[in-house]
Amino acid sequence: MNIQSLPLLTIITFFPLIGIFIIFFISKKKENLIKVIANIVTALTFLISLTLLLGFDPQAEGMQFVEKVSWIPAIGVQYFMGIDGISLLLILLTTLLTFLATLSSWRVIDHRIKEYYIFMLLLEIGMVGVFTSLDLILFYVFWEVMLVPMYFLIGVWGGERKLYAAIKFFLYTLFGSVLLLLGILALYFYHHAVTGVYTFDALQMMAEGFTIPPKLQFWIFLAFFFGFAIKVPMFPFHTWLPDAHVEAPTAGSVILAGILLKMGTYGFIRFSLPILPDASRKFVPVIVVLSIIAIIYGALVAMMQKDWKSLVAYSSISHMGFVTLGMFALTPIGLQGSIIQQINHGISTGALFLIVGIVYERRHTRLISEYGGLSRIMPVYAAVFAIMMLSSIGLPGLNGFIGEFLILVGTFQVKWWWAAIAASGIILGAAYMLWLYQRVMFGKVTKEENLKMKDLNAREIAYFLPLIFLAFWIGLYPKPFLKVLEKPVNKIVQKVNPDYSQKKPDIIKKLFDHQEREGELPY
Amino acid sequence: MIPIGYYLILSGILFTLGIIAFFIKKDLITMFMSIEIMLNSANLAFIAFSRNLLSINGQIVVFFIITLAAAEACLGLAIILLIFRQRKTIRSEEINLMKG
Amino acid sequence: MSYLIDLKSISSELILSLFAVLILVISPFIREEKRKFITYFSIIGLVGSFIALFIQPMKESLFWKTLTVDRFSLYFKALFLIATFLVVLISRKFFEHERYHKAEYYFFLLLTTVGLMFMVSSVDLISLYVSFELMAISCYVLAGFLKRDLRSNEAGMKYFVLGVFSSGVLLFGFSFLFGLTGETGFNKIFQNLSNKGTDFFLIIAMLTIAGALFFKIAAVPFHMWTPDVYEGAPTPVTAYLSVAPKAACFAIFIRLFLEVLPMLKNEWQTLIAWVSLFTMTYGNIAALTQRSVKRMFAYSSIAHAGYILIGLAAGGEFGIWGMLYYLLIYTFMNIGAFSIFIFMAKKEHFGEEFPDFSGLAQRAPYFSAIIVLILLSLTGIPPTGGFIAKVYIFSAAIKQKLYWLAIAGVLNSVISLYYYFRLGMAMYFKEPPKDIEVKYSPSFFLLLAITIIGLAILLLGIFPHPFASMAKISAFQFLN
Repeated sequence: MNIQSLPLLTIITFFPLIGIFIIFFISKKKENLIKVIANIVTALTFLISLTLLLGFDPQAEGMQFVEKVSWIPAIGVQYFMGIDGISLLLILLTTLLTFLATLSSWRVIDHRIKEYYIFMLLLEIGMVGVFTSLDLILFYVFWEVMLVPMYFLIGVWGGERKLYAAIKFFLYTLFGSVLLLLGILALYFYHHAVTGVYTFDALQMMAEGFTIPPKLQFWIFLAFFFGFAIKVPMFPFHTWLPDAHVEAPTAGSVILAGILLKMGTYGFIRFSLPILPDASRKFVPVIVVLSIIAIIYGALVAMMQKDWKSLVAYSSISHMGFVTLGMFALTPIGLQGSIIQQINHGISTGALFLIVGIVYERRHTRLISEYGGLSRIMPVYAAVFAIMMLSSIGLPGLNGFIGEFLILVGTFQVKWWWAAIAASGIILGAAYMLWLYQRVMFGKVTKEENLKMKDLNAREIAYFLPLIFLAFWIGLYPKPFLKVLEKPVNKIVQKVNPDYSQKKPDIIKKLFDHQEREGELPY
Repeated sequence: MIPIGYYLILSGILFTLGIIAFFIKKDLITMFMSIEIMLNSANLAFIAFSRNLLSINGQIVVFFIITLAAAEACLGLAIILLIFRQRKTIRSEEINLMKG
Repeated sequence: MSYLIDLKSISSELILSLFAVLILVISPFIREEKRKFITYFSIIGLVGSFIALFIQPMKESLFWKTLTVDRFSLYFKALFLIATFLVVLISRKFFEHERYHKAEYYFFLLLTTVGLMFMVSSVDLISLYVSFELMAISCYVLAGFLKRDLRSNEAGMKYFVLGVFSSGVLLFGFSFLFGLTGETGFNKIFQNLSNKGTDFFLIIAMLTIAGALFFKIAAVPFHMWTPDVYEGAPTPVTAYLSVAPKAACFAIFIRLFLEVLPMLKNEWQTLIAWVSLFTMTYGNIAALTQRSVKRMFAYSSIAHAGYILIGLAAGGEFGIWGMLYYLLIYTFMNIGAFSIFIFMAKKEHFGEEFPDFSGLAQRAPYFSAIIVLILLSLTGIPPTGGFIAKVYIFSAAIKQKLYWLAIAGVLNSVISLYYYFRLGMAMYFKEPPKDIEVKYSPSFFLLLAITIIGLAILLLGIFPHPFASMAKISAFQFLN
């Protein structure tokens, strides 16, 4: 049987709905049953999403697993799904992280369990939907649908300032997304004016022969920029992030950092760059400056944090700065690095939030000063933390290195000093992470309570294992990942930066030849 | 024959007076009366136009307006009576349970 | 006797009037305990009338060109019947709780609906005015229906005084329309006017008519009655007032301005664009500061009138059809919003302030989930019908290059999120108060209404196609 012909994307997207239905009809007293079902459903979703790999052809041009049905014919909205290498990786990351996050909440969530798992599953539908949809309205629907369960996750199961954090998250992202909607509508009417067809089909918008005048591109890009940049979040739109991340329950933080932030960068890659190439090129300096500020600023603020979780949250801002920097280098290497780095960030920051969650579950405090010398009490925990910390820093052999290296190479090709400044962010990153590790893991055990802390149990180890495995896999043998990304990335660069792809420079040669590079490159 | 302009000016004056009185008077009955003046100004205009344009429709409208105004008056007085019975006042500024 | 055939085309109004009168006649013969019977009786009338809508023949002009039965009017009639049906469902618990369950209530409710149905069918100044007054007078009675309740009769009084004032202004505008043309039929007025070109008096007529209609749809600056009346009137009546007469006035707006006054299009579009901007901004900002949830919804319904006006200001395919779709979903969500207070009603005024909702999600999870759906729809977040409606409306604005209005509209939606989700926050994030023992026992009808509303909101958001095409067909005649 041909896997390509199955409506696999619809199945993956809406599979959690089955779980929601089942849980809806279970009495809320049967807590264990609810937990088991939620875990099974998320695990199954992950397994089903793995079957995408069987049918996926990395050599194929264009979208795969395409499903196209008319949805609101009156205005030309379609139910249009399809994936390429970029979405494939992000979908797998989403289903995996959702499963792990669900597994991690087994004991942490002790009240209103039924609602919790329903929201969790709803969230998964929204996230997977964002990465699969190719119709702009469909994309927007999923994009917003996912806000609601996240709002409730933060607001009901969050920390002390949960009310503030929840509404701030909701308002900020809604503000960005309504402007995104206006951008989509402007695009839609321009497309109609030129071609006479009412459609929200993103592929038609980026088709050859459909060009948008630069001035209109500028405004639409600006509208998209607000939508996506708030989600990433780019400096100076980042202020919702520390609040939301810190106040959210552990699983919520994992998903926020691991997947939600990727939706912004994914939006840039999927829609902004190929649909609005001229404006994207024009915005490069702005975004690069904002990215570099984010890298340095995020790292510096992270260093000052007294709260373990907000340290990780600020480190996210810094890492996402790398992602946007690599993306807007507009070179294949930079873009590939940017996507790999998104995956890495999902893995390592997701894991770091889980790591904070574990001690928080045991001690109910996140202050760094409350801990110290944990490596003696919890050796397995210390090892896991060490691996994930090194992965986040970008130690060669682990995943973070590959992403950051590719981004720096990609950026270097364009302007060497962008890469130079960004590289300093890596050093700062190493500094705050190592310092954190030193403060909580080494030294004497200063607090009595810490002595009684238990090491990781089997369930906890179980959810770290896949992340550790992936960290090593990407770090040691990234080729399969890069191969999947090659085609779509080249296509995007061809569209957004045609000068570059025409010249097809020999990258390695350029790396070692400064003088020559300055004259030749598109900038 | 009196030119139509005169009727219209009178109608306009009555309408304006009605509006002004509605806003400056505080007594419910007087407010209600000023609305009746407004309705009558419209009636006057309709009849004047009807005569001027030799169209009978305008006079039909007036009959309907008079009937409906009577129905409104009936209901209005009932409401005012109810208010008065409960609060012993029909001054509009004293009827203000709801604020905000 | 040719006009007797015309009766067939208004059979749905006739059925409803018949049931209204029957209710009044038989009610003295029914004992107090059996009053429930009246509810069933009115439901049967509504359903019969609804079915008749689909059976009765459409006819362009009937009764000497005073009425028309076209798709546009049928769409609105269906909408009014749905609204009345939902209101009847939520009424019983309210009036039983108030110990004032009277048959007259249903009589006036059905009569208002008949008035509304004739209103959207009217193509003549006389029939329009008479049906408008039939609707208005019944509404005044409904607003003050709880005659022992001080707030209710204050609301009735305010609604009455300002309502009569506005119909005076409307009449004055009509008199100018008549004076300029010597005609009362819309078609003839249009023909006469289009030969003449614009005129100072025509502008005055347009402004006064627009003013009177702005009053009924609660647009700034004629909104001042709204919060008080909505707060004071019996809750099911508030739900009804905020939906049905509003929708009818939008229908009149469309018909009068697009069919009779298209020569003033530039003027009234500018006027309506500004009014819409002020209405939604004022409604939203005022709603932000409310402490009473009921008043908050009153202001929010002002804001929604502003959004719908965007459709009229933009006009064109997307605008008109977007308005129709918006009004449909608005019917469901606003009646849903006000039915919250019927569900909450315990003792006097309980369930009107934010703290009363604390922890509701844990006590009434099903009901809270539907409130959240309603709130999402009011904000315009998918997958609810409110989202699709807003997409239509904002598309219309963008299509007409009214970018500023579209931006103002979306920013207003963001503001509205804040106050709507203050309620969501109270229900879900706060713990229920320990000291007050509250048990909610909604009646079957209330649950039914809430379920219908929840399903409709989802259906209109996820499978909008059949409804959207219905709205499109109904709006079709105004697109050229």
